[in-house]
Amino acid sequence: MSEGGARVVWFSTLAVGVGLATWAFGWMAVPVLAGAWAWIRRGDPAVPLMAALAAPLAWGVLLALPGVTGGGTARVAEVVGAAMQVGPFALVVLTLAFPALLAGSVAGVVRGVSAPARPRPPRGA
Amino acid sequence: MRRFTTVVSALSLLGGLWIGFRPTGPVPPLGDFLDPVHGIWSVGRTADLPAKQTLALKGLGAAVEVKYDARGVPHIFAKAENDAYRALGWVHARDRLFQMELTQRAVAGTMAELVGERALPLDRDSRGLGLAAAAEAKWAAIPAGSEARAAVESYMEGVNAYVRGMQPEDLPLEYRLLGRKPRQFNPVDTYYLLARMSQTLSYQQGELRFNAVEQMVGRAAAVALLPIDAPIQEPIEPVPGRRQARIAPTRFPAPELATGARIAEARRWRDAADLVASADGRARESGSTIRGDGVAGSNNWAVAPSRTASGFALLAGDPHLPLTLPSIWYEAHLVVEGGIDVYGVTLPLSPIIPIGFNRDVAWTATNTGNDVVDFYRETVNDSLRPTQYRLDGAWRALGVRVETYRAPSGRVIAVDTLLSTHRGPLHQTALGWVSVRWTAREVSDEGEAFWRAARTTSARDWYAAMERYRTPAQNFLVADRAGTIGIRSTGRYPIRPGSGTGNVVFDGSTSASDWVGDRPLNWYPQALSPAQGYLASANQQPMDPAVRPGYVGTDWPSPWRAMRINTLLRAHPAMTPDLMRQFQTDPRSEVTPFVMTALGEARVAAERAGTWTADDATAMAFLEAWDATFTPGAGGAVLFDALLSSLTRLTWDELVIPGENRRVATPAQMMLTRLLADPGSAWWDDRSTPDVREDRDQILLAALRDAWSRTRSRFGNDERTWKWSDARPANIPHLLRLPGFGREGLAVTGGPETLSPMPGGGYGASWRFVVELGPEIRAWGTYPGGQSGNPVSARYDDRLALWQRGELSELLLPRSPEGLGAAVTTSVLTFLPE
Repeated sequence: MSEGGARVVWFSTLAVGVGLATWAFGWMAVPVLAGAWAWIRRGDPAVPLMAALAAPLAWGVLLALPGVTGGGTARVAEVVGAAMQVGPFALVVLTLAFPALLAGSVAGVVRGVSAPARPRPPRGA
Repeated sequence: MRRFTTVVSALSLLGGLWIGFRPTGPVPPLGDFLDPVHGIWSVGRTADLPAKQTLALKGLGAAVEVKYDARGVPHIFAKAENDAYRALGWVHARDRLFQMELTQRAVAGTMAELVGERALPLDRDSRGLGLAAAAEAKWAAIPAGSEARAAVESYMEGVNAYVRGMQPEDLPLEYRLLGRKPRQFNPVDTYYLLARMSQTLSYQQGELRFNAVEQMVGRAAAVALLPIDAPIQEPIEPVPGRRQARIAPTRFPAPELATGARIAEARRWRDAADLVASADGRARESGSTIRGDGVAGSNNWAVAPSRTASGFALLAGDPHLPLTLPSIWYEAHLVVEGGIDVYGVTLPLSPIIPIGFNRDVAWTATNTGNDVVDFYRETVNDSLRPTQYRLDGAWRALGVRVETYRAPSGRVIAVDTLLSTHRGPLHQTALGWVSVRWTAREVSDEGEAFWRAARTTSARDWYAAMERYRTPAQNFLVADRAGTIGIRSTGRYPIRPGSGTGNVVFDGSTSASDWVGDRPLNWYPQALSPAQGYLASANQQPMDPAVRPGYVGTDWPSPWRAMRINTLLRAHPAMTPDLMRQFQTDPRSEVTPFVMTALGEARVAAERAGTWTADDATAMAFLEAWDATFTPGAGGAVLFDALLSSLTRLTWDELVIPGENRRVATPAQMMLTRLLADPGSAWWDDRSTPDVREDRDQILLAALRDAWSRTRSRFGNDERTWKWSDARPANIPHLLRLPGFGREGLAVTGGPETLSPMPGGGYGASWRFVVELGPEIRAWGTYPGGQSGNPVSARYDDRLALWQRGELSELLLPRSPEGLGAAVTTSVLTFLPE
């Protein structure tokens, strides 16, 4: 499989995993799962970006599923957005940005601490 | 570079986890909040009732079936009464859990623990009133094992069963926004709710404002402006043979304008009134007593079979209370095999049906507004830190209660030491130390009275069941299937020493100032099946003192609504339920003719004096073209309302403390209309023009010009575009005033002095209903809002449009589960014994 194809598969795996784990365990599953996934994929420099995209994708799909929200996503966005004085669109953006922040940052940390550092050039070279 | 991005990522992760777990200012922890499965987004899953649901409920003796009709009303069918109350508690909690907790906390003074430190002033006010302790004492006084006590306990078990069984998606939105979880409830919480109703309906400080007025204009003038007896009498207790309101001759002694020390004294009385009223913001905002015009205004009336088209008694109820979303009311129907079959509106946190009907009797209420609060100037041993007060020549120890206030985290945010005398809480005011006695703080059991009333079969039985009802005093109107109609202003009427009136501040140093007893039941204002064939109440003075003297209260609201109802009832000898419904949103006000007649005379005077301008003529023509209705599209109502406002301001300028811009009190509007009958009264003089003495006609003309100018400035120069609905829309805020959760700018029929007064916010028609007491009871009703407390649910405000139009829904009254057909059943909930 090509590198691009593999990335698509891994990206999809993370997105599905985040969706299922959120359903089962709640929001804390996002950084945990993303961290584990990033560890497995630590050699890939695109890991933080992929995680930051897969997690909000998963939450976005959950928001679109009537079984999850009772079909009331737009209504909740309108009502709660008004109560928080941020507007419905901002509430949706915030909801998608939050898992992106968690997943992207945990992947960044995992990659940073796990991948071997490049050797320093010899002094004076 | 890599190290840098790792550090940035780590910081971002920490930040994300921090806001995920911790609240940030008013924002709750975002993790649980934004979670699409368990957070706010899940509230849509509970917006609709499930079509079918079966649950085990601990404590049930037998299965209970709850069938919801298309209006979201639960019809609860049980084999035992306490099972029905248990189920009612559960369904209340499902639909109104946050409201229930907020109500309890508002009385307990623990709002800050739920919503944060900004609620501390409210908590201090609530604890200062001492209602929580009163509720505890009332509950403690109910005999263990009594049926009424068991009803409340069963109800609260149902509430707590719901709370225990909640799933994440069941958590109401308000809790999510606050980042809080619901607590368990106690049976005594029902008595907190009843205390709250007493606060809303009976806490007054008229005597303090009376004294402020006295300082401003002299005693004689104050007595005339805030009289014990209303000059226009349309009493609740009918006067045989009377066909219209009695208007007593009224004299307004010239104001003795205050200077120096008296102004300072007036300010002290006003400040004391504000302080004592602090738990009730309405008083401060209106600059009047809480019973003043345009604040609260309930109506009810009943018609005997002799004056109805069907030959059956009719009853209409229209209690006006603070309008909120969710509504104060929750509609429910309880049917117990071989027992009660009662339908009506309940107050979440209570199993009581205070307004409703069974298969034989219907009942409703308006507020009596009798004087049940008195103030005593106390002598204390230390003006700064008193520990004792003087009574009958001896020092007595003050009661001391230490109140601790906490934030949601549990952190102590304030500690107060509250003092009390044997009369009640002691407040330090600008007048010194003042204690307050109030019937709401004394032991009584309204819950038991309502419990008994629900099972009566005649109006007479109903009143017998309510004999022990004490607070807040209500004009209870009852009709039964036998055709009896009755009314009784039921509650405590304290007997005072001396003249017997309570519109003074008493000397606290002697026990001779204390109440000496209560009026007996047969003294209460009342009537049973009077010859006139109808009965009505609208918060007016209940007995005409010319017929039956006796101190009930003071500074009565203007009787415009009472007059209008009586006018309508007299004019219709064959009443129907639909006419009763139409009356509830009748668009006319009895005050209009008084003002328009005087204005016409002012025009003649101005034309004669050569001061009548083209603008005056345009404004007058606009008013004269108005059909005198307060309907949403009425432009004339906008100008008329502005005219009344200007006239009030220009007339009562003597009641404004120099340098300030609000009156120490505003006399009821009927006093203004009585003054209109005296064009030369010194009260018409404008204090700001010392060289000129104005008369009524000049002030009316000035008010017209001011109103015309202000209205054009606010609504534009084209008066054809003015709409009453723009000037005075109905606003129904959310309980926490959360934007987006309330409904504002609603076009409704009704003005400040019509049967459906809508003073621009606050109070309004909270439950309109009509009952026909034929062989089979028929009923219609609605309230502004919906059964659900979930703002995302269609059931949150699904009745609002109907309410705005003044229409009612037919209420379904099945006798058994099978009686509610599948076509009108939206949800079936079955409780099984655990």
